[in-house]
Amino acid sequence: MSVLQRENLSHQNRPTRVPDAEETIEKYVNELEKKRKSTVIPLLFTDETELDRGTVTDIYDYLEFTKKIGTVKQLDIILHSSGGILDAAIHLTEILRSYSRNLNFIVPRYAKSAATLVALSGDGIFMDKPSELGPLGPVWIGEEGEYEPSALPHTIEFLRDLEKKLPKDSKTIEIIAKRLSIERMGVYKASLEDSVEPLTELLCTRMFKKTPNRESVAGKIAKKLVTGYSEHGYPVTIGEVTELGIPAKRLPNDEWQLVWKIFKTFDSKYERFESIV
Amino acid sequence: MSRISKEGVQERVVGEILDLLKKQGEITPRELDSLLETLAAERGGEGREDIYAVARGLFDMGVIRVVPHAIPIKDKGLILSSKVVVRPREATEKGAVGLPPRTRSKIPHSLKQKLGSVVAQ
Repeated sequence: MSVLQRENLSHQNRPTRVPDAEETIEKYVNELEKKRKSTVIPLLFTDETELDRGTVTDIYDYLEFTKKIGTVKQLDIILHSSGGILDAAIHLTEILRSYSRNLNFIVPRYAKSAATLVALSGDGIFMDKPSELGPLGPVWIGEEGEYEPSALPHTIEFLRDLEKKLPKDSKTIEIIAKRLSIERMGVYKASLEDSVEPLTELLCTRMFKKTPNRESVAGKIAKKLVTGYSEHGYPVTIGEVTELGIPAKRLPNDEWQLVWKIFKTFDSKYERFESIV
Repeated sequence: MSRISKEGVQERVVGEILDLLKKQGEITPRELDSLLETLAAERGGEGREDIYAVARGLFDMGVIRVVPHAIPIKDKGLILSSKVVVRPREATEKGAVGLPPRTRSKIPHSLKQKLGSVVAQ
């Protein structure tokens, strides 16, 4: 056996290091950046991690001082998040917008609730078959559990229908009505309006900035996303997003495959467990 | 095979979680979940709900807590994750007995007293 053959054999037998998830994601991001000629930043939240003030701090700190991003021509954010606090989401959109005049969001799997607002704050949004956004209506957590103010009209409608079916001298409606707090109902209604306004503003200033009657178009979309769904977890897929009038696009197949590989690498390491948190 | 009492299981779960945390300083929620699954598997899946309830009780009582943990993908993105840590020693020295009443039903009183002394070590 020659020296060369021995060297080749020893090279073949050497254990190869398996790249960890972060290295693999980095490799795919590099490839995607070359294809899209843009700066690509994945912001991937595990399900137990809320988009809150703390995560806004982490993202800002990373972009400004670790990445030192400056201002870039085109910024593509790969966003995966189950949502969080609306105020924090609004602040995050302002931070992300400051880095590029051409900001896109790519949603591989889901950007729900407050993350939906972030995903719609750019100049463009890319989705595909598994991507989903979600209703933006606030959720109140009280002693009796979770309550969605967007369900308020349904409660009132239910009481109206019930009243029609009951005998005139029935006290049922009166008894139920006594349990409802007028003050709380007012707060619920106000919280819905508080969610419509910022989304309308965000849509008007980027995605629909060149659209005639943009305020009316954006307002309609925002109202539907905030008050049009009674179930907070409802999957707003690319088909439904398009029906709402949001110009969601599909990425070319080779780019989408890279996005999906990035998501799958993250998902296999950080997700898929029954969280007790 | 001898049967272990419910309290015995609860004590074991608490002990294993805290031992792991003492050894590693912090763990991911996924590592915690693996530990609970192992404990449940050792018992043939019996009492899995109890095991998870005890672990949730530790969170509710504030003995262990979840803190945000951002993992940079070098300069190519960020994973917004979290990690499980034991409460700082000074916060647990008084023991778990004085912690919020809403969680008291999850862990028996005797175990809470032990828990207080274990965590404060």
